[in-house]
Amino acid sequence: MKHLDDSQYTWLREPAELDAVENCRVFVVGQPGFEALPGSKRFKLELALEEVLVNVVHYAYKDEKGWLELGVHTCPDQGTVCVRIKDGGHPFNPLLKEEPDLTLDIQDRQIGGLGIYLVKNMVDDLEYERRDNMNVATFCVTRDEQE
Amino acid sequence: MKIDVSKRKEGALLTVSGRLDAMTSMDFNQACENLLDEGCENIVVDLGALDYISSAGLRSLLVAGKRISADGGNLLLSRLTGMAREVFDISGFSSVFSVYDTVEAAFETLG
Repeated sequence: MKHLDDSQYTWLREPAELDAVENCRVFVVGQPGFEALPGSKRFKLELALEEVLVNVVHYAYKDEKGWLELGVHTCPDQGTVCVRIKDGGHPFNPLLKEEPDLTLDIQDRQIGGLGIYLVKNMVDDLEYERRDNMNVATFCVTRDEQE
Repeated sequence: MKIDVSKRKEGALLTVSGRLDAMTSMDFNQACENLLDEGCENIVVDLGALDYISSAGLRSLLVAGKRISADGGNLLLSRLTGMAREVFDISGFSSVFSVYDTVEAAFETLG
C-alpha cells in the first residue's frame, strides 16, 4: 500500500462537501476491477469509502472550504482494490481514534464515533500518514482465496 | 432510499429500502419525526429491503430510538439481513435494539 506511489492511483478531486461522497462512490464503483470483487467485499469498500469521506467533509476543515482527492488502484488478478484519500485539513490520524463503547444501552450510547471503528473492522488494511501538510489515508480490500 | 409508511393500531410500520447513508439518513429521521408529531408512539422498521447502511444510518436509528424511548414508546427493527446484519453485529447495535425476524413478530410484542 504505502509502497504504491500516488502515480499508481487514478485520481478524482472534489470540494470537501457532502455531494463529493456520492461522486466518489460512483467513481470507485465505475473502476475496472471493482466488479471483480465479491459482493461482500464491494460493500465493505463502499462503507469504508463513505466513512472516511464523511469524516473529511465534516471535520477536516472545520468551517473553512476545503478539498479532497480520491485515488483508486485496482489489481484484478489479485482481486484487490485500494483507495487513497487525501485532504489538506487539520491533522487527523484515524488509527489513533478512541474506540466507541459498544456495550452501552440505547440511552447512554453516543451518537457518532462509529464510522472509523467500522472502517477498521471492514477493510483488510488501513494506513495513515501525514505528509506535505496533508492527511493521507489508504485502505484496501482483497478477495478471499475461496471467493 | 425509499420509505413507505403504513399505520396499524399498535403503531406505524416504516418500510425502508435501498441505502441508509450520509445522504439519506436525514430523510429517515424526518419520517420518524413526522410520525411522532402525529401522535404515533411505536414504530416498527422493516429493513428487509435495505441494501446498505453506514454509520450515518446507524446514527439516524439511534437518534430515533432515543427520542421514541424518551417519549415512552418503542422503536423495533425487523428483517435485518446480509450487509445490514453484519454492520449491526460489528457495531453492537444488535443488542442496542430489539430486532425481530419478521414484521409480525415485532408487532406482536406491541399488542
